[in-house]
Amino acid sequence: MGGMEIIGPWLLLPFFALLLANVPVAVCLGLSSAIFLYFSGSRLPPLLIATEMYDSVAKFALLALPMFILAGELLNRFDLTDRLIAFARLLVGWIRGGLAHVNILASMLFAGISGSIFGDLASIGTILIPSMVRERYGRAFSAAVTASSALIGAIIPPSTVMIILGAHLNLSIGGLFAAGILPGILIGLALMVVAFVQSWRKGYGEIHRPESLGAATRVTLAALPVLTVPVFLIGGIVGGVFTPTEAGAAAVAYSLVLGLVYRKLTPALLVTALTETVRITASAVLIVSTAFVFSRILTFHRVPQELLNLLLAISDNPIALILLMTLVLLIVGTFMDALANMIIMGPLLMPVMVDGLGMHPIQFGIWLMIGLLLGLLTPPLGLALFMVAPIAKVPVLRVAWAVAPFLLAQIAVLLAIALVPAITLTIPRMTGLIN
Amino acid sequence: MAAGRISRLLEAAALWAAVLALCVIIAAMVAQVVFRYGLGMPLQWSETIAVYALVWVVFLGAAALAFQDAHVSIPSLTDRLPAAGRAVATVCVRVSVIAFALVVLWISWGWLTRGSHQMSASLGVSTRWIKLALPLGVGLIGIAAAIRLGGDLAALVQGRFERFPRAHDGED
Repeated sequence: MGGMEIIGPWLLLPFFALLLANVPVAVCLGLSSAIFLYFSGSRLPPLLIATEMYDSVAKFALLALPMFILAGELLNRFDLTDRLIAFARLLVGWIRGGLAHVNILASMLFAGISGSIFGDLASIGTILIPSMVRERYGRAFSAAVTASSALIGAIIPPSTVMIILGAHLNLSIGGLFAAGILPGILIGLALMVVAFVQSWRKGYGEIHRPESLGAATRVTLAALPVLTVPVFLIGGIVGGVFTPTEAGAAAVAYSLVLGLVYRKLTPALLVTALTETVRITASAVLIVSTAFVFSRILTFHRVPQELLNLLLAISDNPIALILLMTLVLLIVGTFMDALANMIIMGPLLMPVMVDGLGMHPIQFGIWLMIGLLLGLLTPPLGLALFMVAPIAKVPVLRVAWAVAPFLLAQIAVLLAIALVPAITLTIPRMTGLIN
Repeated sequence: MAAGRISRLLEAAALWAAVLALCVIIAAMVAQVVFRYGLGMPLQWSETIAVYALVWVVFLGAAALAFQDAHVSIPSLTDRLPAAGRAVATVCVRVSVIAFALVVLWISWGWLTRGSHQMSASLGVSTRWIKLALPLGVGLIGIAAAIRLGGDLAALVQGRFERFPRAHDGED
């Protein structure tokens, strides 16, 4: 029996009604699942809510999550961002649109330390947007560069989003980390091309001369302890020395040492970092836990199979279907919380994309993640837009328009990831993380 | 006000218990790395205890967030409503959260009092005590919503709509 007849009225309808009423996403997912389990006549027992919520949290693979969040929170508070920005300025500051490139490159470097999108956005945005405005970059443009490059935080490892994705889709987290490196660099380069063209056409920014050798050495040495973190962590995980969880513990230990060396670590700062870590972890994983119940209902009632049959009825050309599914992903990402989306759409689309269309599971994971994260840059949800707009003191809608060309560049990279397996699979294959 | 004081007290208790559990995770994982790579004798219990602590971090942390009204929601539609509409929507939100908490409490009662909850092999405790975090955390989320519902209803009746601001200002 197909499940759609009862899924629609008893699960999806209550879910969207609650979502639109501004009920917390975690409760929307949990309460609509409860309504379905009690009233739809499904053979699944309501007990599922308790067991799946618990099982989705009590996972070894998730332990890496609070570790990397804490390491990021600590490093964020040591004012190390300044050093990264100075180093990025040294490398790309002299190009046309210099500060835009600095913003993007700093996001890439930052991504190698912290696994989060919003930490990156806040710290880089607060420092760089005012300098960009002083150098006559448009406010909306400056905000757009900051928001769109912040997504790289989840794509270049370590990545908190990948930890959650890997833990719940049973994908190797190390494999996802390794697979994210090239896409992250490609997105960074694509954004730089857009920033260059726009700065050149609109005459944004001042031209900086390359710095003297002495200054360059000083800046590099100052950034070196921070830059060692990604090399050490990513090298350790990708090379198979550490598990991601152990790498997370090492990252926490290293950031504590760094805080002591730079004399930035105070008890008050430590307490703030700990409570913030609790907040971020709990907020994300609670959504994941109820999304997991919701997702179990969809898979039990064979919704993925119905979806695959539907698609195969539309076309049997895999490339056309991959393009179509990418479009679906972008649309879905626009209207729902990215994390909940990943837990729900992951099991829903994995049979379609992996078994049906022949994607590698790791390639699928990266495609899914980037596709859904792009929803952070589009209204009506666009969390990144809402965060960056007050920093740049510019209306959200103007940022949304300024983001458009950057978004198109990212969509181009997303399509390349979907169609060219080598972009995601080369590094994990080289290091033997996947076969 | 008594309700405000209870709310702050419960929030602090949930938050600090969660922070304590986070410290347990960190200590266990750092110990694991030190013992495996430093001393060459891997620990048997470190990951188990860390996973149990994570359950407490998540559900008690989520309770603390509920007292701060800080869970992720999507205000795109409600922000477009007039203040009275937002007030009604807020009351619906509180009622939904309380309903969900009651469902979880009801299901957990059966879940934890019946059935088998095998002893954790490496620690020798019943996992019941770990699973208790779920009804405790979600129950507290319900209490947080109930406390806010009281204030919301009073404000709604008295027409004090400034209690229901838009989530995002200047969207249009």
